[in-house]
Amino acid sequence: MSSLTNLFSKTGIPQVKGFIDSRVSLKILIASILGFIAVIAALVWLNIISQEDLLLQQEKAVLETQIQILKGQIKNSEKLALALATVTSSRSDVQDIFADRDREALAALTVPGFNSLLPIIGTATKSQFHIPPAKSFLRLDNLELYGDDLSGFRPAVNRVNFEKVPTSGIEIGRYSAAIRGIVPISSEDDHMGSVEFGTGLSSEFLAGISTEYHINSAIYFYTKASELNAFFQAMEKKDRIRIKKQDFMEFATSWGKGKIKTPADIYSQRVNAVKKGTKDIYYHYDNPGKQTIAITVLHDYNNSSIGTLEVHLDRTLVLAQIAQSQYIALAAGLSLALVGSLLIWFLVNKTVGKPVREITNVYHEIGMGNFAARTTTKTTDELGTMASSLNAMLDNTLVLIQSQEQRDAVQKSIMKLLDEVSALTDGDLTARAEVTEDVTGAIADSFNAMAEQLSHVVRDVKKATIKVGTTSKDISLSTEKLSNTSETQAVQITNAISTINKMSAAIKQMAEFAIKSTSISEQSMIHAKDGAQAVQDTNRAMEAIRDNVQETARTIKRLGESSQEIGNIVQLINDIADRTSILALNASIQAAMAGEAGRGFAVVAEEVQRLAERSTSSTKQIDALVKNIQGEINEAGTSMEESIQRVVQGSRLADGAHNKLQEIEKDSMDLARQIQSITHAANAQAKVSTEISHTMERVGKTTTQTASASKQTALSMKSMAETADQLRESVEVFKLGDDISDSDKNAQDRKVA
Amino acid sequence: MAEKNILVVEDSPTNLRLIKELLEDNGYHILTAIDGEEALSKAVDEHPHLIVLDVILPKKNGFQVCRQLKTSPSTQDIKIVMLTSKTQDSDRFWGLKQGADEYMTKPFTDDELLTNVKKLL
Repeated sequence: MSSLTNLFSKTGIPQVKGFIDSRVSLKILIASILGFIAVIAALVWLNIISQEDLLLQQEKAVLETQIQILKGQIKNSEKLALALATVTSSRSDVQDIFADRDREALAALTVPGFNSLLPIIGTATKSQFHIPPAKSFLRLDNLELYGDDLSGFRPAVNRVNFEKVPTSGIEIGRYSAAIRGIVPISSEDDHMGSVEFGTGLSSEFLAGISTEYHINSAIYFYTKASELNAFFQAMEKKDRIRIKKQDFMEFATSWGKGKIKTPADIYSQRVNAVKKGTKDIYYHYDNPGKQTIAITVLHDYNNSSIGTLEVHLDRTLVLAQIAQSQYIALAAGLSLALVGSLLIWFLVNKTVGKPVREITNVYHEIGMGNFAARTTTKTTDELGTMASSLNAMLDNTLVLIQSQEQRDAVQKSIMKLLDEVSALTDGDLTARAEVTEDVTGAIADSFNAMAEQLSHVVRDVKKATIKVGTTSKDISLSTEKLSNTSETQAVQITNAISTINKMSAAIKQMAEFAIKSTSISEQSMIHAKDGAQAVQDTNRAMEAIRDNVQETARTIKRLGESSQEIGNIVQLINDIADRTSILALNASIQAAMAGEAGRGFAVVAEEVQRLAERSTSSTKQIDALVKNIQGEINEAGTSMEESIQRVVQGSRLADGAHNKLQEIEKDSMDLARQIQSITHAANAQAKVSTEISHTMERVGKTTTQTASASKQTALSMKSMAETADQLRESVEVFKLGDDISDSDKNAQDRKVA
Repeated sequence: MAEKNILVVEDSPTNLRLIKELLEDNGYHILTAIDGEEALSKAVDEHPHLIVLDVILPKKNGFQVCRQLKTSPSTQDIKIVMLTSKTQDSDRFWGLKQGADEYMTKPFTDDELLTNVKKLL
């Protein structure tokens, strides 16, 4: 610890280095400043653009106003001309004189008024009366020139005199263009002609406007417009030039010809203005010439596009203003960027640079071994968190470093402890570690506690091994005895098996005899059954005979009765024969009395007499026969009775025989059944004896196994006893505080412990 | 209330005297021992109510003494306050593990010791 404080005091906090040392803040600074400058640049650029746009808008507004003024001037001239023409045409005195075509009177009436108006309406104003179709009648500005035909080059005059409607606007003449108002003159629907007022559209006209309004303007003719054909033909004739090479021709300028150069690329805008023919204004920025040109279409009286009306505005001032605004914006941007950068530098340095520097310095310090260095950064952002985390980490590290010193001390005390407990590893359980002030004190004592506990255990083990040795020897002896007994038993069982086998054979033989008896008894039973059946049949036959004899007896009886009846009938016949004989005697007497007549009759009577005699003798014979038959019938009846008696006796005997035979059958059946059960029993016995034989064999085997197993056990027990001896010898290695035989003291100790 | 017996086991005579006087002033009867074996025999013979036990002791250390007393049925009801210069957490752990009822470290205040003794008796 003291060495550490020394280390800390050696290195102070190093000098806070330059801002550039903080790469992080430099990077943030550069990024921020670049971003800021980019924003400023964008703002400056936008400002310049909008300033320029504003100036251009202003410029456009000025140009538009100038165009409107110019157009207004032209329109005013037109309106004035139309008003003057309308006023003149509506004067009845003018109408009357013009109706009379009295030129001098008309001039006298109109010229003084016209001349007095000139100073007001401009000396360039001209006025003229025409008679249809387009003939000049009177020029108020030139009384000498009249009577010439205008129809070739004055389409507006043609139109007024043809359509009889007032017309006004720009009209291109032979050599010039003018703004005119032409009104027809009529009296009571009678068209008489027309009157016009007008002023020339020329450089002078534009110069006049320039003087009054400071508008530099110019008019260009579109050389392809058909309305200008007459003009250009006249021009070419007069100047002997070819004009149509150019599409646009400079016609009039407020500054006089050629003074201001018009840029070459204005052409397309002019074409657009003419072709579209709308009121749109086109702007042409001629920066080399330091001018802006506004271009719009120029229409004639008939609303045809005949060229362009252009206004030139000096750009010098505008360009200067634009340049100035750019300078101002740039200067403002630059100063803003500078101030902003400084501000960013200040902020980044304060919020990032300083904390980063402090944290970096602390890391430097740590690198040089100064673990007491701490940052003082107290911001609430991530850097503040980082700084406080770093401080906390350093606090922890310091604690860890301090524990390093303690670890050395611990190592030393551990080695001491190891030295003390090394006796334990040699089996000396009496060894104890010293409990010191060191950190290992508790551990040392835990070794002591363990050694104490181990002593108890080893003591118990020693006792147990002795007991095991004794016991296993006892068991070994018992097992050997058991083994011998088992062997004797095995021999006895083998003898039993052979006896059982013999018995089994005898039983089998008996079973066979029983089976044979069964078949014999079955046969005798069948014979008895057959005998009984035969006797039964005899009996049935005898019964039939008895029935027949009885029937015969009845028949003979009936025969006797019939012969009796025959006797009766013979008696009757005999009586009849007697009476017939008497009758025949009577007849022969009668016949004899009748003499001859009765001779034949006497023969018949004689015949009848003979018949009667024969009948009598026959009946006597029959009677004798019948008496004979009756005697025989009686004899037959008697013998019949005897026969019946014998039959009855016979059947009674047969019944007896049948019963006897049935008894024999029943008995033989019983016999058969008994023999059958004897067979079953014998079979079962045979099976059982076989099973017994098997069982006995198994018992024999088991006994043999038991014998060998107990032999094995005896051997194992012997080896266990040996093992127990070995174990005891091994445990002997452990040295205990008191001898094992001194058990009283031991027990005492344990009670206290 | 009968006077309570307290056995103070301490090998440093100065400390022994300080503790003895402090406890006697507060009405306890004090026995003393200056090594582990004496402490054991006195604890068995006298059966004090409480033992103020140092750890670093000759013959048998305080842990051993505490362990033997607390595992023997006849002495395990004796309250033990370990009072030692061993300040490690492991020492406190081991001391309490051996059955000490309170583990105090030196230097100590009188109040501390008295509070613990009163609490246990």
